[in-house]
Amino acid sequence: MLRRRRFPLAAGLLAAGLAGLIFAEGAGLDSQTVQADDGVRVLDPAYLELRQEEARTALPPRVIVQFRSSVDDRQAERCVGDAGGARASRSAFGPRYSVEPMAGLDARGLVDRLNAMSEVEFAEIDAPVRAHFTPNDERFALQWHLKMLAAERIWDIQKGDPSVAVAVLDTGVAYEDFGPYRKAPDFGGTVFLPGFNVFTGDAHANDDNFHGTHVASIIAESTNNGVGVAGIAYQTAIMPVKVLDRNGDGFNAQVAEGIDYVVNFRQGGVNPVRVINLSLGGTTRTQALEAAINRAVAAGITVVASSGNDNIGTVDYPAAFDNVIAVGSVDGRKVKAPYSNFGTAIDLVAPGGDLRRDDNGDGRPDGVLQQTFDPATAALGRYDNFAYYFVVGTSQAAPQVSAAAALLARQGIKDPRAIQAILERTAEDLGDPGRDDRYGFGLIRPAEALKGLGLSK
Amino acid sequence: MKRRISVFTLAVSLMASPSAQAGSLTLLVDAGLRTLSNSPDTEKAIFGTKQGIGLGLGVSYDRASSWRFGLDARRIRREGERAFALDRTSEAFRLGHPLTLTLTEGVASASYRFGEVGPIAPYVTMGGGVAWWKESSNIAGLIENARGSAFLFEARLGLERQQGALRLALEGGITMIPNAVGVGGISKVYEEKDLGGLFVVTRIGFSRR
Repeated sequence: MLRRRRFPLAAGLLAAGLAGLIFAEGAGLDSQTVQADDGVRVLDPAYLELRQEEARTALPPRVIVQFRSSVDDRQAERCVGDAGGARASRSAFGPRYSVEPMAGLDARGLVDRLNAMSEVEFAEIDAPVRAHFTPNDERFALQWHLKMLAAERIWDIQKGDPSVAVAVLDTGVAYEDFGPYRKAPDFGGTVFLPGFNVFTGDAHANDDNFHGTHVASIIAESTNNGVGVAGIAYQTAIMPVKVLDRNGDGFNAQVAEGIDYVVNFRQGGVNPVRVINLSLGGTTRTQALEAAINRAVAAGITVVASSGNDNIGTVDYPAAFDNVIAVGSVDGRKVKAPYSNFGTAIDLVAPGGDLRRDDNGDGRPDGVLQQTFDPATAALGRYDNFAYYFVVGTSQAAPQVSAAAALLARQGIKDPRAIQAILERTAEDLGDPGRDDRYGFGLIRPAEALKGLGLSK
Repeated sequence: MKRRISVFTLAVSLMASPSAQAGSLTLLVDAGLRTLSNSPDTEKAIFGTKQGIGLGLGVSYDRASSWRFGLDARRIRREGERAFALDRTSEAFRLGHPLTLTLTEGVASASYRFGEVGPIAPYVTMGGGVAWWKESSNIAGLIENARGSAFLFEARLGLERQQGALRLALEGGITMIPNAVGVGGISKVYEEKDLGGLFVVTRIGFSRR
C-alpha cells in the first residue's frame, strides 16, 4: 500500500522505507538493501527438481481397483475392506475405486490381495500426476504466494480472458514504449486497454515509480512464456490508470478522477473493466472518492483496496468504505503480516509477505516476486532497468484479490456484491473463528470460489 | 418463471384396471414433464431451462372395481450447472461447471377411479415412498458428488381411456420430497429444501387378465 500521512491519500513509499518493502530477486536473507537484478539470473534447476521430488514422495500410496461391471457398490466396498483398504473413493463413472491401504499394509500387498478376488477386474498401484498446466516461467517456483493460493488449480478452472479487465489505479504501468518509458519484458503476452493519466490528461499512463508495474504484474504478468514469473489472472486485460505521481503520492480527487474514467470507458459499446484495484490509501475519508467508488460498484465493477502498512487497528480509505473489499496481508505462515493494518473494516487477507522471513525455505525472502523496474534508476529518469523484485505489503495482497475477482467475473458472476460474498464464504478462516478484525473472513481461496455452489453442497 | 422441464419417465407398472375384474394387471410406460417447482429458485439457478430424461419401473394391482394399488419406480436425470447467488433475494449466476442431478423414486400408491364420463374415466392417486438423489459436478476435471435420501409424498389426478388391453392416461400431480436438500449449496442460499414439484405425464398401459 502506498501511503504518506502528509497527504490525504497515499504514498511516500520511496521515502518511507522502500528498503523494507522491496527486495531484488537474488538477494540473500541477510541483506535488506535494495539490489537491482539483471533479470536473467537462472535458478538452479537441480535444486528445484529436488524440491519437487520431495513433494511427490510425500503423497500417500494409493491403489486403483476396477471391479467387474456386475459388482455392486456394497460388494465392492466389502472387497476393499477385506483386502485391507483403509479409505476408498468411488469414481462417479463406474465401479472404479481409489484405495489407500491400511496402516502396516503396503500398496503392493493391497494390489495382490485385490487381484486375487474374482470380483476385481484389475488392481494396480496408482501414481501421482501433476496438473497439466504448470507454467514454465523460470522463476515460478519462487512465487510462494501462488502456491498458497493453489494457483495451478485456479488455472485448471479459469485463466481469465481479455474480455474482462482490471483497472490498476496506481503510479502507472510499464505497458508501452513511449518517450523514456519502456514496456516491461514480461508483459509481452499481456493485453492492455487504453490507459489514462490524470496528471497529463492523456492516454499514456506510464509508470515512473515501479509500484504500479509490480501490482499489475501480480494480476496479469505474462505467464507460461518460459521467462520471468506468473500472474494470477494472466489472460485478463489490464487498464493502466495513473493516479499517483513518481513518488507514489496523489490525492483523493485524482483517484476519483481515475475511477470515473474507468466507469465511463467503453470499448465496442461495452465496458470490459470489471475490477478496480487500489493499492493505495490514506486516513481521510472524502465524499468525492466514496461517491466515485459507489458509481463504479453501481456499474457492476468490483473495487478492491489495500488496508495499509502501518500495523494499526484502523483500515485506511478507500479500503474502509463499505463498497470496497478491504484486503490485509499475511506472511508465508498465514499469520498477519507485521505491517498489515486491521480493524472492523477488514474483509479478506492475501499473501503479502514478510521480507524478514523465509517460511518456504527457498533461501529467499518471502516477498511477492513480480517484475518491475529498478526504482533507484527510475529516480534518475531511467525506466528500462527491469528485474524481478520481492516486494511486500498490502499493496501486493490487494491485487491478488482483484485477480480473483476478475476470474470470478469471467466465470460468470456479474454482481460485485456476489463476488465479494463468494470470496468471503470460501475464504480459509484464520484467527478467531468466523470473521475477525485481523483477518476479516480469512485467506482467499480463489479455486474454491470458482467452483461456485452445487444444488446441495 | 418460465419452466420447461421435460422428464421422460419409463414406468412399468402392473395396475388393476378398474373397469375390469378384480386381479387384473396392467403394465405401464410413462413419459412427461417433471419439475422441481417446490424449490423454484434452486431449479432456475441450477437447471435454467434445460430439459431432463427419466426412466422407471413399477407394479400395480387392481383390488376392486374402483381401487388400485401400485408400486412405481422412476429415475429422473437433469443436467445443469453450478451457480452462485448472494442471498435468497438475489439473481443466481451460473458458472458453467456441469452438474447432473439423478433422482430415483420408489412410490407405493392407492388410486380411486371415478365413474366413466363417456369413454374417459377420471381417477385420483395418493402415494408415498422414498427418493434417493445424487448430484455430481465436474469442475475442470475434478468430480464432486453429493447424495442423500428422503421420504416423498405424491398426489395425482388423471384421465384414462381403456380400449381392450390398452389403456391411455394423462395425469398431473405434485411430488413432495421435504427436507431432501437445503443444508448446503444453492438450495441453502434460497432456503429451499424440497426436491419435488409439479408434473404432467402420459401413460400407456397394457392390461393382463
